Amino acid sequence: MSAQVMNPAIRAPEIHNPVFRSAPGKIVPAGLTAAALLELYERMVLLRRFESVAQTACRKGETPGFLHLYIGEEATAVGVCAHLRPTDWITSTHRGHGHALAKGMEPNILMAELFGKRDGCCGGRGGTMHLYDRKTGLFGTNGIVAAGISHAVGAGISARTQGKDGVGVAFFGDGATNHGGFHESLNFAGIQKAPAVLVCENNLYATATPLASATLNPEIATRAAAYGIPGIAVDGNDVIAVWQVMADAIARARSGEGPTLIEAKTYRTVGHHEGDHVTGTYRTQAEVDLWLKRDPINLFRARILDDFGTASADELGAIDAKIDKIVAESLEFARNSPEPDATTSSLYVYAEPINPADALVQAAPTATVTQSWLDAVRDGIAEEMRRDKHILYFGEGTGERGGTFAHTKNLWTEFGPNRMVDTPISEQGFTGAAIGASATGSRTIADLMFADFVFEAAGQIVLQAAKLRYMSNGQMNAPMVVRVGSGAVRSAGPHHSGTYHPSWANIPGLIVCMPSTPADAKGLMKTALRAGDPVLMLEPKALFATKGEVPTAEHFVPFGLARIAREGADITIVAAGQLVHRALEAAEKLAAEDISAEVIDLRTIMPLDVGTVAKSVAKTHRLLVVDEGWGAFGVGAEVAQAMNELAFDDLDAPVGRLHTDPQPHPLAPALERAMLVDADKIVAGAKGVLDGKPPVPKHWRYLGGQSAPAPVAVAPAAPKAVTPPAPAPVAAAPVAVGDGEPITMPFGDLTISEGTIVGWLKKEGDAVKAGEIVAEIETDKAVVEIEAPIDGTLGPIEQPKGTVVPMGGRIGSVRR
Amino acid sequence: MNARTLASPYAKRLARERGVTLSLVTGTGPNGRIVADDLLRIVAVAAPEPAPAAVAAPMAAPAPAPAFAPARSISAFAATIDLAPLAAFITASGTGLSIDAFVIKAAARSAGAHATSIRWMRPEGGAVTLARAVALAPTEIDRLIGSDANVSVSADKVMVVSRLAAKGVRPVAGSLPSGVDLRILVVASDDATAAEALVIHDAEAISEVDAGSILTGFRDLIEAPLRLLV
Repeated sequence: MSAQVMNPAIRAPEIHNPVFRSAPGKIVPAGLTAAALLELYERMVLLRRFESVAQTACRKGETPGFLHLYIGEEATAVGVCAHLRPTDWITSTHRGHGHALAKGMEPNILMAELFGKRDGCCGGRGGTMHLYDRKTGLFGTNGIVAAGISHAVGAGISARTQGKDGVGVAFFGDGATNHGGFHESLNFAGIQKAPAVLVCENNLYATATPLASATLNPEIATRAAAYGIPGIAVDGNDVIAVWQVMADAIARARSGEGPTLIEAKTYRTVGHHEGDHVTGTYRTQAEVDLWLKRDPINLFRARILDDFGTASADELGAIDAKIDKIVAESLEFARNSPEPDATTSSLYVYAEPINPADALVQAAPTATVTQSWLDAVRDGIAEEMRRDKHILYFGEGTGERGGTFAHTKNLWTEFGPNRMVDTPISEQGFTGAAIGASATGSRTIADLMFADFVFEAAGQIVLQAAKLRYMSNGQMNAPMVVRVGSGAVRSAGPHHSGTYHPSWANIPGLIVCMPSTPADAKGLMKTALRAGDPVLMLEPKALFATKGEVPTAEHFVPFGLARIAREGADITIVAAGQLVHRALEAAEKLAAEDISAEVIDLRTIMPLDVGTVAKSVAKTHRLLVVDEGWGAFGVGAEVAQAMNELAFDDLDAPVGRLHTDPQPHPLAPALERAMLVDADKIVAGAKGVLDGKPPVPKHWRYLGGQSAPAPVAVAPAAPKAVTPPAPAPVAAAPVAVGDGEPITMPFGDLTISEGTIVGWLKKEGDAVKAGEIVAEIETDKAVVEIEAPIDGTLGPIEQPKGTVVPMGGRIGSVRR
Repeated sequence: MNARTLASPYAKRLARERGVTLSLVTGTGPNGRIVADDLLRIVAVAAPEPAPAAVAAPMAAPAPAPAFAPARSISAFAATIDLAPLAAFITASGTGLSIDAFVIKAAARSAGAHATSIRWMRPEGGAVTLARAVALAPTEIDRLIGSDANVSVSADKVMVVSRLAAKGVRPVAGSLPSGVDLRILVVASDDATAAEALVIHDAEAISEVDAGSILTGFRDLIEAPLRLLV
C-alpha cells in the first residue's frame, strides 16, 4: 500500500461554535425587569467612566506602574457579576478594574489603590494588577496569566466543604487558554464537579498575539468538551446575552452540577496597556472602528430606549451624571489620601506572630509511643482533620490508595473522598485550587509527592501563596501545607532525590520545615495545620522507615526553634533533616578521638533559629554547617553569615560548610555516594574547622584555582554493598543456613526498609517450582509474595513466620 | 614594615578582655594565626573562662554580702534579664499567664541536678513546693502556684524561687534558708521590660562556676522562651 494514502479517519476536526445572542425585539427577557436593566446600565457606565478618569490620571503620571484598561469589555463583567453575591469569589486578570467594580468594590478605594495610596483597597501594596477585597469577594486581579483560574475552583470547593452554596468565578483572557493553568484547572474543576464558572473574555489578542496564530482551535468554548463540561460562546458585548448564559451557569454551579466554561467574545477598544498604541502592529483601525460600532454600552442604551422602552433618555442621562459625580469623588479621594507610611513597608509578609498560639502552649507531658515516621505524621494529620472539618487533602494517589509511600493510609476510609481528594497529575492546578480553598476558609494540604515536583507548582506557591498576605494588605492569606517527600534515598535518581529547601526559604512569605524525627515531623505538621502562612513540609524520604518516641497527647513543635540533638564543647555542627543523623554519627566518631561536638537540628529552615546556633558558638567557638541542599547561596552560607553578624567575636576559626555536591543526583550508587554528605565527610570537615582550615567548596566555578584544597574524607575502603538505611532488625537467633539457592525479601520501594513474614505457604521438604509463591511478607505498604527462585526442594526455612526481615534479607533457600 | 598580626575574632576578644598585646603572642593556627588556645595557654588559669556573672551583669554588682548563717560560705551572682521576648511570647500564646510560671520552669531547668524540687515563695506569704517543675507545662505550674493545695513535698534538694514585684531596685544579697543550697530571686514588676536576677548559693554545696552557669542558663531560657518548650 502506498504511504501516500491518507487514513480518512485522521483529519482536522470541523469546529462548530455557535455564538449566543439575546433575542431581538421589544420583550424584556425573562428574569430581567426594568429596574434590573437600569442596574446593568449603571454598572457598565460606572466601569467605563471610572476607567476613563483613571486613564487621564495615568497619562498625567498620577498612577504609578502599569494600567491595563477594560474599556470595550464592560458587558461581560457586569452581566456575569449581576448573578453573584458578596460571598461568592471572583478571580481576575491584569485587566481587572472592571471585575472589581462589577463585583461591588467601592470606587474610592479602587482609585486610591491605583494611585498607590494608604486608603486603597490594599493600602498601596497591590495596585492595579493585585486588587483584593474580602468584603465584596474579590480574590484578586492577577499579574500572572491563568493563575487565578485554579483559585476560583478552590474557592468553590471551599464553599462546598463549608456546606455553603457559594461559587468561585474565574475571569481570564484568550491568552490564558493555551496555558497549563487553564487546562489543569478546567480538568480538575470538571472531575471535582466544582461549584465554579469559568469566564473567558476572548478579546482576540493575547497582548499582541492574535488567537488564531496561537492555536488551531480558536473557538474556546469548544474546548470544554475536552474536560467533559459544558462550554458556551456568547456575544460578550451583549450584556443581556451574557446575563442569560451566566444565569444557567450559576444555577448549575449552585445546585452541584459542576462548572461551565463561558467564552465571551469581546474586544478592547484601547491599547493593551496605557502607553500602548490602540492598534499597534497587530490590528487595523478599521477593525477597531468596527468594534467601536458595537460598543456594549451604546448597544444596550439603544435597546433600553428603542426596544424595551423601559427608561427615557433623560433617565439614562441622570444615571450618567450620577456616575460622573461618583467617579469625580473617587479621584478626589485618591488624590487626598496620604502616601502609605514607609515604616510599614515590611508588614504583612508573615503572620504576626509567625507561630499559631496553640504551638506556644505546652501541653502537659504525657507518655510516648514508639512510632514510625509516616504513622506519626499521618496521626497528626488525622487529629487535625478530626478537629477542623474544613481541612482538605489534595494529592495524587493519596485517597483510597493510601499514598505512594503509604503515607495517607486509612485517611480515606475515615474522611472520605470529599476531603481526601484524589487529584489528576496537575500540580499547578490542584496547588492553585489548594491556595484558593485555603484563602477562603478551608485549609488544604497539597501533597506533591516528591520535592522535585514542587517546581511544577512553583508559580502558584511563590507568586500567589507566598505573596497573598502582602499583596492584599493582610486581608487574605493562604494557610496551606505543601507536603512532599524530599532528599536522596538509595538511587532515586535525578528527578526524585532533591530537597531544594534553600530555593523556597529564599522566598519571603513561605515557611520551610525539614524535620529529622517522627515526633518533630508530627509536631511541625500539626503546627502547620494551624498556622497562618503557606508551609513547605519537606519530609526526608530516607527517614520514612525510621521509628522514634512520639508523645501520645497533643504535640506541637513551633516554627523557628532548633533542637540541640547532642551537647558538646569543641565544635558546633548544624544540620537538618536526614543529615542530623549523619552529624550524630560523625559526633560519635569524633568523640572517639576526644573531640566533643554539639549537634544542632534546625528543624525549620525558615524561620531559621540562628539564635540557638549563636549561643552554641559562644560556647564552642567553632562551627560546621552540613546541609543536604546545594551549597551555592545555601544554608551554610546563610548560617555562616549570621554568625558573622551575631557571633563574630566568638569565632575562633572560619565557619565551615558541607553540602551535597553541586550536580544532579545520579542513579549509580557509587556516583551518588560520592556527591552526598556522609559521616566521614563531616568528621573530616569538623577536623578542618578545628584546625582553622574549613573545607572549601567548588561550586562558584570561578576562573582560577582554589586557595586551599578542601580536606577530604579518608577514602572509604572497598565500595560498600547496597545497604538498607535502617539497621537490619533480623532475628537474633542464628539459624541453619541452607546451601541451596537463597530466597530473599526482594528490594522494592525505596522508602521501605523491612517487612514481616506473614507466613510460609510451603513446608520444608516440599517440592517447589521456580516462580511459585512460597511465602508472604507484609511491609508498611503491601503484602509481597515471595517466589521460589528455582525448581527444587524447599529448605531449610531460615526465618520463621513473624520475623522482621530487612530488604534483600535472606529468609530460606531451595535445593535443586 | 610591620606584618599584620593574624588572629581569630575570638582570640582578639580574649586578648582585649585580658589586656594581652597580640603582637607578643605566637600564633599556632594556619598562617601563624593566633587562636584562642594561644591566649589561654599564656594567661594564668586563675581567670576561669568567661566568668558568667561578670559577663552577664551590666551593672556593677557589689560584692555579695554574707547572709545570715556565718557558718556557711554563701555567694551570689546577679544578672540583668531582658523580659521583652517573654512578654511577646506570652502575648502570642494567648494564655495570659504571668511570668512566674516561666521563671519557675526556667529555674528548674537551669538548676538541673542541683534541685529536685522548687519552693515558690508567694509574694503574699506562704510557699508552694513543686516536685519536678522541669517536666511541668507553664500552664500547669501557673495552676499549681495559684491553687490552695499547698502540697508539701519532702525532697532532699530544694531550690527557693521568688519574685519581688518592685521597680527601680536591684537585689544585692539574699537569705538562704537552712537546708537550702540554692535560691533565685527575681526583681521585676508585673509590666517590667527587664528583670534583675540574683542567684544565691552555698559555695560548699554548689561551686561558683556551677552557680554562674545556673544564672546564665536561667537568663538564656527567659530571653529565649521558646526554648522552654523543648
